[in-house]
Amino acid sequence: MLRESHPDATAGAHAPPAAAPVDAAAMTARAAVSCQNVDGAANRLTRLRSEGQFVLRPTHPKGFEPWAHGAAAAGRVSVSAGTAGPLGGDRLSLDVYVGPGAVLVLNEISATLALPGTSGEQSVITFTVRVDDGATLIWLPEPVIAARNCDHRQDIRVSLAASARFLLREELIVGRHNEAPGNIAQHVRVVRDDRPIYDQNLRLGDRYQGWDSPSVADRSKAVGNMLIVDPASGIGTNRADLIEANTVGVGLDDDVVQASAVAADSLALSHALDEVLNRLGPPWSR
Amino acid sequence: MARGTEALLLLSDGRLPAGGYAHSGGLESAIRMGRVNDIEDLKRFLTGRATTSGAVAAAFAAAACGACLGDRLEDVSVLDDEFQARTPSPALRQVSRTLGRQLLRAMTAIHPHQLQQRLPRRLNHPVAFGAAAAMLDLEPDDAARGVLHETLMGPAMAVVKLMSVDPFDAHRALAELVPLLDTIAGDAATYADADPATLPAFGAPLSDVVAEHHAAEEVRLFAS
Repeated sequence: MLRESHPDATAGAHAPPAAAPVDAAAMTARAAVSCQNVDGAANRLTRLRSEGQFVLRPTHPKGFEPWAHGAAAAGRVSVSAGTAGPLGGDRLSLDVYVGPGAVLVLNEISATLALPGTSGEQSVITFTVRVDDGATLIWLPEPVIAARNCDHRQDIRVSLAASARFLLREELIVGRHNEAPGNIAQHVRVVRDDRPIYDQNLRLGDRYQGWDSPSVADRSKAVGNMLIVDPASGIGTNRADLIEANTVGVGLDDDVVQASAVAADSLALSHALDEVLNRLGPPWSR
Repeated sequence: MARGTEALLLLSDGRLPAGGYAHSGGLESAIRMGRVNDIEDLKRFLTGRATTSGAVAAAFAAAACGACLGDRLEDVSVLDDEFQARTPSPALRQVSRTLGRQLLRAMTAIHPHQLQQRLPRRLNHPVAFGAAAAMLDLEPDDAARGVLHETLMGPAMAVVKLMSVDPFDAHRALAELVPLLDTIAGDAATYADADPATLPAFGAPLSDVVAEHHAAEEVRLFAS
């Protein structure tokens, strides 16, 4: 199952990149983390491969961790930036595997700043995630900031087993303070037990006609999403939380909650998403 | 396009008794929340709707039409699941299901077809629209154009009831979008035989947000 569904988790340390960058100055890097219960040891980091942008470090709790808060035994990995960027033309990937019954909290040390390169090429980061039966992944990346003139894409492919638990919180900021928006497309596709439960490609920046529409992001600089899958929990049943004018937390299924938030800046966005979690109650709330 | 033009006009006409006229496509709530105040705002509203929800609906209608024409009915259910995954708002899911059901009911009444017995009873609107197009011997390209047209005509017609604007201005906004709509429909038609998982999934976060707020309003003119 592991080999079939997640070939990258077992690939050699120097597997060739999927697509080489066109620009000689651009970077190709692939990193991977696996967390498994092996030989009676819980949540062991069985693979931790850093390269380029992605420097992976086992860490201690950084702040409040929904669901895993206070769980000393959870696997914890922080991603820190080994290089600037991503820069236009970069091709980066991070593979995440959480084995049956294991718990991994994956966070970041700092925000990601996507910058334009010299070539005008798009930068692409591909995340491939597999969470097996009874496993938990709490994934709390820091905001992705699209600097002026950047063209960045993130493809996030998540495959969940039927009994996997999952939290993904994503915050996109277009333009630094007082800066014109850069371009970012973030495509998140989540498949659970081989059925699609969430598939959204959010595109922000002037490259994407209509992004500034009152029906899309209306020139707001910060857009966030959150997806919470908690099998058999009932957190999603009849849920339609209206949080301020621009944030909602809704049930996609009895045990799946999704939040959409549009805000003026990163701080307001972060507070809005916190409030979505607070409405869910323990163990998701602070 | 000569073949089937009359059928396409029949299917896309707002006067078809399939309930589309009761929906503003989120415009009523966007106006209430102060996001749309004049005709320029309306045009931006329509542009964003076309490039996100409209482009997704058009691709799903084309793919559903292609699946029905190719007698790949198992793909119709897969398309319906994929469309639902691209519609996170429960309020919008309900709207889509309702419009899908009403369209299939209208088709059963006005144009009996063997597909009606073989299709799932519950289909999202763009998927039902593609199936209805196939029942009328239309092509995937027609299905994409028709559903895109409907996606924009709802709010463009609703605006004159919701805001003090000149109906000519509302239609001018639509006319200016024609080249964009042609491009979007053309792109959408290329998905006629595509793997359902690869269809576009362009997100419109404010549409999701206002749809939930609208559903909670006690006094409203339009159903969505």
